[in-house]
Amino acid sequence: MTRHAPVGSRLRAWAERHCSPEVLNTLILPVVADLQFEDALWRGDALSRWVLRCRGYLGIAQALGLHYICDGRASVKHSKFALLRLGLMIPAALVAAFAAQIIVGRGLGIVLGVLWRRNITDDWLIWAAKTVTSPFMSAAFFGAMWWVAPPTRRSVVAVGALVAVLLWGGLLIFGAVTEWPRFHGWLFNMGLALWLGGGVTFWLVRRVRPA
Amino acid sequence: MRENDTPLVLHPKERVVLELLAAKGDRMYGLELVAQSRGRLKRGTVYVTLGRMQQKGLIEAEQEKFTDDSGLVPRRMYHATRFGLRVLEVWTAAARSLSLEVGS
Repeated sequence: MTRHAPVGSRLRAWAERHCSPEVLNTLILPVVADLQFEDALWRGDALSRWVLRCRGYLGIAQALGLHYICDGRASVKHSKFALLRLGLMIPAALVAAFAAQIIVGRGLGIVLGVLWRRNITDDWLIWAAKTVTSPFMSAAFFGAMWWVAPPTRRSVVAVGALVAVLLWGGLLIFGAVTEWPRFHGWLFNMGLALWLGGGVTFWLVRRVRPA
Repeated sequence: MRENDTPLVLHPKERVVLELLAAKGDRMYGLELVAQSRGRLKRGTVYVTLGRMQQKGLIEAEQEKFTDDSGLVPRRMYHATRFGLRVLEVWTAAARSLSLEVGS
C-alpha cells in the first residue's frame, strides 16, 4: 500500500538543506507541525483543504520573510558599507534591467534589420523583440541585485529577487487574460520569458559558492 | 533570568500571547493562539513572535510526544514562564495606572 508523505514534508526537506538550524527549529518545524495537525483534522472538501494548505504555506513564506528582514537588519547594522550595498541593490537591479533591454533590444534590432533588410516597425517584430529581451532583463535584474547585495545576505536576496521576478512576470501573465476571451499572447509570452530568465539565474546563483 | 540589563519591552503581540497563555493556564500551539486571538495574531507573524518571546524568556516550548510512527513533525506546545507571567502582570498594572492618570 502506498503511503503519502505528510503535507509539508518537501518543505521540511528543503529547509533542512538550506536553512540554519535556528530558522529550522524556531520557524519551519513549528509551522509544518501545526499545518500537518490542521490538515490531519480537516473534514471538508478537497478545495477547502487546498485553501488551508495554501494559507499554511503563505504563512511560512511570511514568517521566513519577516525573520530574514529582522535578522538581516540586525546583522548589517554595524557595517555602513553593507547598508550602502543594501540601499543600492534595487536601483542597481532596475538600471541593469533597463540596460539589458536597450542592449539586447538594439542588438536584436540590428540583427533582425539585417536579416529582413528593413527597420523593425511591424507590431509582430516589436513584440517578438520584447519577448526575446524579457529573459535578459529579468536575468540582469536578478544578477545585479544578487551581485550588489552584501555576500552574507546573498542567499536571502536571491529568494527575494526570485519573488520579485515571479510577481513581475505574473503581472504580465495576468494582464494577458484580464480581457478574456481576448487573449494577449505576447504579454503571456513575455511573462513566461521573465520567469525563465529569473529561474535560470536563480539556478545559476545557487551554484555559486563563496570563495 | 535575563542575561543582559537592557530594558524589556513587551510588544502588543507578545502581550496578546501572554494573555492567551495565562487565560488558558495550559500549553497552546501556534495556530491555536492565532485562532483564539480573534484576529490579533496572524499566521505569518505568530511564529516569529513566539521565537522572540522564547529568546526573551517569556515563554518556553516543548515538543508534543507521539506514540506512533506517523512521520508527522511533533507540534511545539508553548507555555508562559513565571517570568513571563510576572512581566504581564507588571505591564498590565503599569498600563492601568497610566490610563487612570491620563483619565483623571
